[in-house]
Amino acid sequence: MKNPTERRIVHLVVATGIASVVTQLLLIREYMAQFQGNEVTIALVLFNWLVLGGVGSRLALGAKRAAPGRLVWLSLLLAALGPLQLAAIRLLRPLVFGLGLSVGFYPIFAFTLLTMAPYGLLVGYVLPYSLFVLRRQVPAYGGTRIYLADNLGDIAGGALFTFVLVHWLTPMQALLAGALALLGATARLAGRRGWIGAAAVLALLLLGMSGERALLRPSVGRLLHYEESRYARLTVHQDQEQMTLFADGRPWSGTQDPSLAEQIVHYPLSQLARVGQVLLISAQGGVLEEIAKYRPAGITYVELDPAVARLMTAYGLSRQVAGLQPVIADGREWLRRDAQKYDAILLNLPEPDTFQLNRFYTERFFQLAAEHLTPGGIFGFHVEGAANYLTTPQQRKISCLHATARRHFRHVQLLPGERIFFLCRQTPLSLDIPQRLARLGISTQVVGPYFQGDVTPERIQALERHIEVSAPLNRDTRPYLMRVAWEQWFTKFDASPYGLMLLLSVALILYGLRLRREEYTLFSTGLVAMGGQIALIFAFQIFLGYIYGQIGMLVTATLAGLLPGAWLGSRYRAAAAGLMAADAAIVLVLAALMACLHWGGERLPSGFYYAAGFVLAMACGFQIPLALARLGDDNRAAARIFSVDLIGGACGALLTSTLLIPYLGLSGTLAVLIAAKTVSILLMRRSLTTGGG
Amino acid sequence: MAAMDRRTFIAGSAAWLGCTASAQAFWPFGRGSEAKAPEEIRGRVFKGDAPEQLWPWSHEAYRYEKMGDGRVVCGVCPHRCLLSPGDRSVCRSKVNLDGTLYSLAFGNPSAVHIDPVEKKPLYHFMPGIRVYSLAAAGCNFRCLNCQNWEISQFTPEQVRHEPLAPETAVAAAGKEGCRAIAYTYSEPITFIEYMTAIARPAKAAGIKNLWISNGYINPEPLNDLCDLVDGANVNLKAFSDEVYRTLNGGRLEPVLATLKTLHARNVHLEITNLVVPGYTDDLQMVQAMCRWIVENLGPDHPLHFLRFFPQYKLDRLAATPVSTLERCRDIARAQGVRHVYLGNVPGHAGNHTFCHACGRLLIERHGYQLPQYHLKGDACLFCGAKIAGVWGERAAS
Repeated sequence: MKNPTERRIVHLVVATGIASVVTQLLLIREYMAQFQGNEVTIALVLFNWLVLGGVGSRLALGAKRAAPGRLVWLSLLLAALGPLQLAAIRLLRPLVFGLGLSVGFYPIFAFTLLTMAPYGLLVGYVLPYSLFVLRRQVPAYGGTRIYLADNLGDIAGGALFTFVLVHWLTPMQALLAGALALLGATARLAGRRGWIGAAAVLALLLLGMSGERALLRPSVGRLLHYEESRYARLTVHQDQEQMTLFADGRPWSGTQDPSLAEQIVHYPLSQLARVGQVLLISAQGGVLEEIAKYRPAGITYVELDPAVARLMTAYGLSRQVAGLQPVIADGREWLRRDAQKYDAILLNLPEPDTFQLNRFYTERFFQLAAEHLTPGGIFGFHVEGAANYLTTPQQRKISCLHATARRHFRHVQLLPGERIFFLCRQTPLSLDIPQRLARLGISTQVVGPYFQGDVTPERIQALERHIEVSAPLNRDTRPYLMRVAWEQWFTKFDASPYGLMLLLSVALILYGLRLRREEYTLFSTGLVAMGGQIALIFAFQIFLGYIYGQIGMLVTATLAGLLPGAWLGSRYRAAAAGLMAADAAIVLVLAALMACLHWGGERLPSGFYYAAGFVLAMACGFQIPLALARLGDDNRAAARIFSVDLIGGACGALLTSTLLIPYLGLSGTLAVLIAAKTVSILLMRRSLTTGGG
Repeated sequence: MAAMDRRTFIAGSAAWLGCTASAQAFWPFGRGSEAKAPEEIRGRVFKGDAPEQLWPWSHEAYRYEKMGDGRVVCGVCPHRCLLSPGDRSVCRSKVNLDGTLYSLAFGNPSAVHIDPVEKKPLYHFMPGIRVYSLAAAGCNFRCLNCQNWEISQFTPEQVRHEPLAPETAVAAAGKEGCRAIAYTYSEPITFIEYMTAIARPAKAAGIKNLWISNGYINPEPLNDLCDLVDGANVNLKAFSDEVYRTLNGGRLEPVLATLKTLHARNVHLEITNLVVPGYTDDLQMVQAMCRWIVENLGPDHPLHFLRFFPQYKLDRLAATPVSTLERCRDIARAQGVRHVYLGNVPGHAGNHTFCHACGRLLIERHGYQLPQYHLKGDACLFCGAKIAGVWGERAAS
């Protein structure tokens, strides 16, 4: 790389990769904080991002007179759009949807698409444009090299975000940190005028930083505390004397609501003659104090997010009680490793509508809970119910949970209400809870006085009548409850995903028909790379727990595999045979992964997942230079290939998260990915035999 | 694809950003800002949504007008839905089939439960009695915080139901020892045909009829209802037409008219007001509401300020601070409302009834339990002041 301009442009591409990945991850977190934080939202954001990137790459085909000067301005615009976009999301959310309102699938889809469009299109445009600029300097400059540079930036950006930025910086600060390299590279490329532009953008980024809290100010009450933990955006609002902890914009716990805490604790604990050890997996405000009324020998309180535990104590939502042992860990992983037996295990988590949360409502988790109970011990959990009528998805949910719990507990009792409480035990359960509390001398504000009107025998019977005995079980690798939770979400917003799915399917078919064979290969590669990554993360969470750093490692390992793969591919001469060989390798890796996960399960070490992600990505990365070689590696081919890869990734993200895993389970998902690649092999084989392309 | 240069691209991207900023103007899915540009969420007629044919729970609708061209106008609520053949009403319960308006919610309740009367809430109506409570699907409002959205925001065909003929409902209430039947949970105005068909035999059998409603009804059907109803709790959602339009999908004025009619017709009336942070917690609005109540209805109708908890689509707000409710109570008392209660606040003294004359505790409420009851008939046991309400025969404790 003797030409300094060439070197500077490559540095710019790497820097763009860093900034864009940091921005992408921040946007995912922002949308999760602004909307429902489930896999559908993540899949929509990824889908929109990749599709916009793909469209942006295609738009670059129309670029005339690619020149370094224009690239500089585009890069500066990219850096400036980050804070503008983040601010726009935060400001527009309440303006468009109103105060305190949740919204459904289509508004989220439209809002995320529109608000990320400027950045998404531009970032997709810049990569091929950079290549065109380079080719004006060095006409024979290979498309693979620019792909490698972009990947290097992506890996660096992903690692920077996961291991550094997310721990210490707020989103606006992280945007600035992520854009520094881009500003530096832009300025170096442009000289004096570039430095002035970079300084102006830097000022904008600093302005964004200074306005961070103002952009998060609540419409009601005042913002007492704000922080971004590894897992969620945590804010504490004060309205009059009331403190409320919000996680990702939804109230998680308040200082003035004794009713939920009482129900969580007294429904199960009143069943016990003596309460020794209690395991509490996550907590609402007031729960610890209610448990303390039983004077237990010990309370093990496991919380995934240390920031939640800290804020609960700091703002009076939770008090220190005797015998308390706080543990910062993934609750399921803790239970798997823990040898202690408990008299009561109380699970207090949100609805099972994400891969992470579903793990606490599966047959395996219920088995773990049953194994950790003393004889006569009790396991209690609760899910969203209804004041007077259960919708069909709710009915399916409680039926599934009931059937799943019954696999490991002889007695499962449901208590009705706006939250439905499950009491699970090997010995009979009693419904005279107020009398039991009276006998124990425990006073309550809600459970005792309201039980006879809210949890009447008639309401209990009505709830039990709704349980379908033949309901499917919720299993780790086949998360039936996630489907039901999403159905419930769609029901609530009176929407159906099928319209969009149909539209996308038609668009996909039309798009697919226009693809050349090599392009289909790359489309399926994008699909498999993204789908495989999501499947790996899903499996990792099930078997090894939701451990932020390790999942970050997994994503980094998967990204990192692309780089050596592309490098090896650029040195391989027989393009068509190479594409086929890589396809075959991907099929083999996926099949081996399927077998290992099926039979290995919890016995597989974390290194296995990193290696699998790396190898899969390597095989995928290997195909890019080969496809470029096959299609001629001119500007047009490069733009098309970058675009196809991104659109394949978009489809992989949406399909895997929202359809394949919830409906087909882990093995079914991997089988579909294998099928996608098998089609690619057949097409390439035909291409080889006919000599066509 | 036409060639696009950098300028075009940047201009296009800027246009995108501009689009997002102005998306509010044409956004088809959500509502506008709560204060600056509220969007009305009033329900709309469902064009062509009627079923092909009637089902067993159909009944010709009550109070509607045939337009002569196959269209009909429902006369029950102020929406006055104008329905062409094949259309479904805003409340989802009524359809025009071949020029006749039918209710699809007759004899098919989707929720039937037995509740304490205090749960409605009715604090001055025969305290401690059990109430046979039922609801069919549908509602003429679109409240973003509906507690019963699972029934109210669906058509009768979309929800599970159990057949329950009017006479059977009355018999079941009697068998369960219920002294009253409450039409509740969703919006009884939408199944007014079924309600009145139950209320008539219930009244004849000595069972009271309780109407728990948003009060969004036209004067004529309301007057008919007043002949049958013994007690009502009307949810006065806000004292602001704007809030009604943006939070509930209705209008204020018809609800105020309903309150006046119920008062004039001597139906026992209690009023509920849900205090939603950022929407209905404006203390000046609360003051105006209480002034209106005292001026138009007098001081005796109990007023319940309910604490909001995140519900349905409005689930990204914190609960109402208890002190806000206490301020509302103080304002109401200062305006002259005699009996003000705080709901959804367990253990709070705002659940108890105090004598407006001597200030002594008359009824202590501990959840649904009444550990202290110091009324003799309808009078304060301590000073003899008459306490408005329908008190029944409960003995003083």
